[in-house]
Amino acid sequence: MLSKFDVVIVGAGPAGLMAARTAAGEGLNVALLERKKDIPQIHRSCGGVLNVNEPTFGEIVRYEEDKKLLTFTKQGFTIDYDGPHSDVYGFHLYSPGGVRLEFGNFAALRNDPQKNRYGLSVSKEKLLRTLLEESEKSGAHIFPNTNVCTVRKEATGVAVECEDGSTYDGTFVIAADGINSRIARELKLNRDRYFFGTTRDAAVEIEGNACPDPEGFLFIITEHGIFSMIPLYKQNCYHIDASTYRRDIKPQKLLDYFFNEDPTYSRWFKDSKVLPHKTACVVNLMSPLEKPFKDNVLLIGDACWRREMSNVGSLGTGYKAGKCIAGALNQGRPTEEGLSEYFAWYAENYFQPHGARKQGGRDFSEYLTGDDIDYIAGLPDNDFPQTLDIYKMVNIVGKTYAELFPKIYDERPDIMDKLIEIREDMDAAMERKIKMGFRNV
Amino acid sequence: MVKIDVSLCVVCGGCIDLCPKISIKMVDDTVVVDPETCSGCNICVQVCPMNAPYVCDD
Ligand SMILES: Cc1cc2nc3c(=O)[nH]c(=O)nc-3n(C[C@H](O)[C@H](O)[C@H](O)COP(=O)(O)OP(=O)(O)OC[C@H]3O[C@@H](n4cnc5c(N)ncnc54)[C@H](O)[C@@H]3O)c2cc1C
Ligand code: SF4
Ligand code: SF4
Repeated sequence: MLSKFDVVIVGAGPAGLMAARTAAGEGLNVALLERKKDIPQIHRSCGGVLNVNEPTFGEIVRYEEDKKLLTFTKQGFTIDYDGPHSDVYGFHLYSPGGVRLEFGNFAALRNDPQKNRYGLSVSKEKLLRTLLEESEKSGAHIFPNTNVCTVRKEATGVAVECEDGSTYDGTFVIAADGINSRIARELKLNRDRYFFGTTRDAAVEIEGNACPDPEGFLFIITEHGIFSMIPLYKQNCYHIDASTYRRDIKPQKLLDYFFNEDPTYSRWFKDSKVLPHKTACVVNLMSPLEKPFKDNVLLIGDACWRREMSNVGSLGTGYKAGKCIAGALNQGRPTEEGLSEYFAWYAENYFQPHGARKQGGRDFSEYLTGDDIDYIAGLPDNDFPQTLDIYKMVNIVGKTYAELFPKIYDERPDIMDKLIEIREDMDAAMERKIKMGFRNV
Repeated sequence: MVKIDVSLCVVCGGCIDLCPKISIKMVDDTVVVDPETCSGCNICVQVCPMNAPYVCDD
């Protein structure tokens, strides 16, 4: 076994596996290190939705039912997917009392799912298994059960050190180790990033649900917290997630409340069955890396981003990273300059459109009552345009409400006062979140 | 020191990521604390969404 590789990839999520498949397919000598033993198993919460048909990070993905093929049309690559799937049309937001804001009229969209869906809910386990098998077939060396501790710069590349004492040398290293990237921390890249706090989530899968819009990606705002509900690839099954910044709240408790006690929503789950697969996640929110590179380590996927880069966004960085590293090595430029195409592409499609955004994410229920939020949710008289792009959704909501402020000021000065208070408290609220967080510098 | 109640742990990796001492690892898809390096700071106890880490005397 060679211990010197062209590229050592850390983390076998969507980003790392896609990078491994691509780099090995280009003929590079690849090592893929992953702390999980059974790599495709999903333990960290993820809804498993792929953004399709709608532009995402400069990419448009199409799923051809007959060919069972996911095509990334801009970058020009495909992934086989012949597992079960369900269609998702767009976001719906719900207020505590059940007022719904719709991003797309699902009844009309249902006429042509293949064209109109903006999300394809897939078995992520199956998708990752396919990428793993193809990486192996292309000659990538896979090392499961391997915990990476740190990276060290060497004269001719990078050494990746593992907890069992083993070391893997790479001309390049790709850090695809997810949102709380240890490699970003070890490279001291987190020191210059804004830290916005830590969220903790717990999620379950349920079968059966009486919600009126099963093809929606729902965000449900309650007085006790925000929940998300996503249809799973399995017929009539859903992924439900509870998230909190607060140290004194256990997300698991929030889920119990939502299913059993919430005055508006618990009735949706009267006949639901909770399935055994439980997941959780802890997310440190930090500003994205403008230059996701240091000492011949390229950071891709969630490892360089603020929070979720999404499955499609992460797969896209994996493919581009594999291609560009192969290009750099083939041209004999195993340095930062060799990857200039990657940096330009990342700046254009990821950092410039989305990277500079300030982290909002205020908890409105700290300031507003359920009735207040219901009133605000009931104001817009038009449906919003269809979208499953979180950045777009936030922009649409922001723009709509900016125009509605005069009306709120007239009708409900009491609520307007609270909205002003939220704005004035923004910095202090952020400070409170940072204090409650667990910064990993 | 701290131990992980494996019946509650879902192996999300959150505590592994945020332990300041890098004392938590994944072995055969089970999460374990290294008693040699753990400082007892309790961060994992506060971070875990599932209440799995706990403080014990032995
Ligand atoms: C609640 C929730 C719901 C979501 N739902 C969706 C959705 O529906 N659709 C969507 O597109 N996105 C969704 N996302 C986001 C999506 O899961 C991520 O963007 C995506 O998984 C990122 O891929 P990645 O490969 O960069 O990182 P990850 O998938 O996190 O993979 C990182 C890998 O690195 C490994 N690793 C980490 N550290 C080490 C180490 N030190 N040594 C060795 N291995 C290590 C981990 O075990 C893991 O396998 C969701 C996220 C959350 C939190
Ligand atoms: S944070 Fe909790 S659930 Fe997640 S791996 Fe650690 S102990 Fe397990
Ligand atoms: S108590 Fe602190 S040092 Fe010990 S395992 Fe938990 S987080 Fe790490």
